[in-house]
Amino acid sequence: MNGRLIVHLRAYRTDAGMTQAALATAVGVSRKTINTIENGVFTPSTILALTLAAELDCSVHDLFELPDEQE
Amino acid sequence: MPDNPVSRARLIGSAGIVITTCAAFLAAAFSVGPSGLVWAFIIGGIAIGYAILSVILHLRYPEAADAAWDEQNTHAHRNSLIFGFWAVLAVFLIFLGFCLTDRMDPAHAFYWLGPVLGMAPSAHYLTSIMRGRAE
Repeated sequence: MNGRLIVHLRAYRTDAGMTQAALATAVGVSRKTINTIENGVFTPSTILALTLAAELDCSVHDLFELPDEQE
Repeated sequence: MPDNPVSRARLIGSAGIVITTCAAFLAAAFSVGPSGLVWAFIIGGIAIGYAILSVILHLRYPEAADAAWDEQNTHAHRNSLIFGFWAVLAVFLIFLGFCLTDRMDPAHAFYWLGPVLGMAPSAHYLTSIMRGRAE
């Protein structure tokens, strides 16, 4: 498996009316971590992904998506 | 500069260790400035000062400490320790070569391994911060 994770965190965060700093405080990480997750630089752990989804009242599958496999 | 006080102290502490160690290397290379023992006290003083400040900030701001040591920063820190291990091993082998060919005094080689051991992880962590991979 290769390819980068497709991240929709920014869209869900802005829909919830939260800043990166506010979301970071809510889930107990640094603002930089939220920023790098949104930019696809850092892939969060399962625990953090679930925590983000719970905070934004959505599913992990809404926030993260695998790219289509292309042979 | 990070808003988080623990991250800010970590950035300043790491930068202080790297800057003073580089200054000590340059001073030794050009045979200027204070003796190696003085530099050892300066570098050690900064490292110990940073450690004490870090403990105080962790106790004073526990939530900020948790955020400062979240999974991304922990990952970057682990990578910096791995880099530090290999950097010291590489410098040890280089110094060993110098000592075996009589280009370096073993006592000096042993002395300089200390600053390298202290600086290498901090330098790697600073690079991670500048690359936006840590705070």
